[in-house]
Amino acid sequence: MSLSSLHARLASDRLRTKLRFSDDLNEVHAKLFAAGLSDHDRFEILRSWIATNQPCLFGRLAAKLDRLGFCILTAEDIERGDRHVREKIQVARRQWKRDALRGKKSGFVISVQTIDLVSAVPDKTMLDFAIHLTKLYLNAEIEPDTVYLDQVMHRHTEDEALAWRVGANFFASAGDGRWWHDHRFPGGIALSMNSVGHMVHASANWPMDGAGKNAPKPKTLGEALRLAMQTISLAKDACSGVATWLLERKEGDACPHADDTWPSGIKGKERRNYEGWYHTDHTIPSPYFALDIERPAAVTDPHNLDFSYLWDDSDDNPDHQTMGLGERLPR
Amino acid sequence: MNSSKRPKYEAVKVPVSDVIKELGDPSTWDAEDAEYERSIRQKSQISEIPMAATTRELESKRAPRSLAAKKTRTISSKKKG
Repeated sequence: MSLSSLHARLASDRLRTKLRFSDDLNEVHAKLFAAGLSDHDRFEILRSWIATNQPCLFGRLAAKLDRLGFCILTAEDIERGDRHVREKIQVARRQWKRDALRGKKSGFVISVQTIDLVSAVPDKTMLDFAIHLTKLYLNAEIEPDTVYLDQVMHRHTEDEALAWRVGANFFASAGDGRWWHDHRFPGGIALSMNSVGHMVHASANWPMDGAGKNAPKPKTLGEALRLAMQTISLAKDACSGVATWLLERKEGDACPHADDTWPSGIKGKERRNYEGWYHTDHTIPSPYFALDIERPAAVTDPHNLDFSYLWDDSDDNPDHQTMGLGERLPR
Repeated sequence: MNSSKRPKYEAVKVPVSDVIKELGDPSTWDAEDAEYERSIRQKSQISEIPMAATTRELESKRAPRSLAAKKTRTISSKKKG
């Protein structure tokens, strides 16, 4: 089924008559669906929201410093068919990768902006829509509850580049007020891609002036670990409580980074693992797609999730190389 | 407890020919950058809610599905009758 067909089958979220959107989303929606906007205009509206309201501190920083590539898809794009949507995504994806190689951008956002998506219930049709969109982005068969990765590079020397795996994550307006509130996003639905390793490497040359002058730039993977832990500590206490949380540190986590100066919310916390009711690396978590606002009763077993890719360089942890430090590529 | 660890990703070295194959010949990038910049700044005349939208409307009713079927809403101070 095409994206257009799935879009036409989206059902209205009846719970929205009592579950009002948050004021910040209302403000963005009031601007997004006006006439006369370019894709750049639409992303600037989003970027302002991401810079202040996105729980992910890496996303906030990249937005403040204008280091996000983007692809905006409207109802008109969807109506033009899958071929058009795929081509538009792939052109934007290539531009993002070129800009990332040159250090101009780091993350990438695909934002599908339609009123029907904003007002839709997160059901099987929305799940199928998200799967189909991800398929058009990654040119691969996609299933929920699976980690899908893109790759992004940064020029290292004249002769070589570094490459990092890039996680892709689903966000939606439908998450606002639901148990997965931290994955809400204005405008409909979005896929967000970021690589902490690329940001640490590329940001060494980013001027930290203007809007980003007070932003906590991660100069090292140790500082990136702090930001990652702060992101988890900022999880919204939503209708079913927090969806992700830090653990008390066990003795001997072997992390080489001192936390003496870290904020109290993360000092003394476990630096190898954290937990969550959804898997933060899964591109499209299936538990989101339920009619209820609260966490489904079937979700009773928390995921044990990983920070160690940011600091554990032991031989049995290749994620540190592919997700954190990067791989050297001959040029 | 669900499985904790991320999948193990094999380190893959990519030759420069593959980098160029994926991203194109760098000698053309400046011109293509300019063309891309023009395309993303092109204004669209289509909107889903022609007048300033409020999400209250989104919450209470769904918008028409077909863009072609949409009509521009106008505000008038005149009252019918």
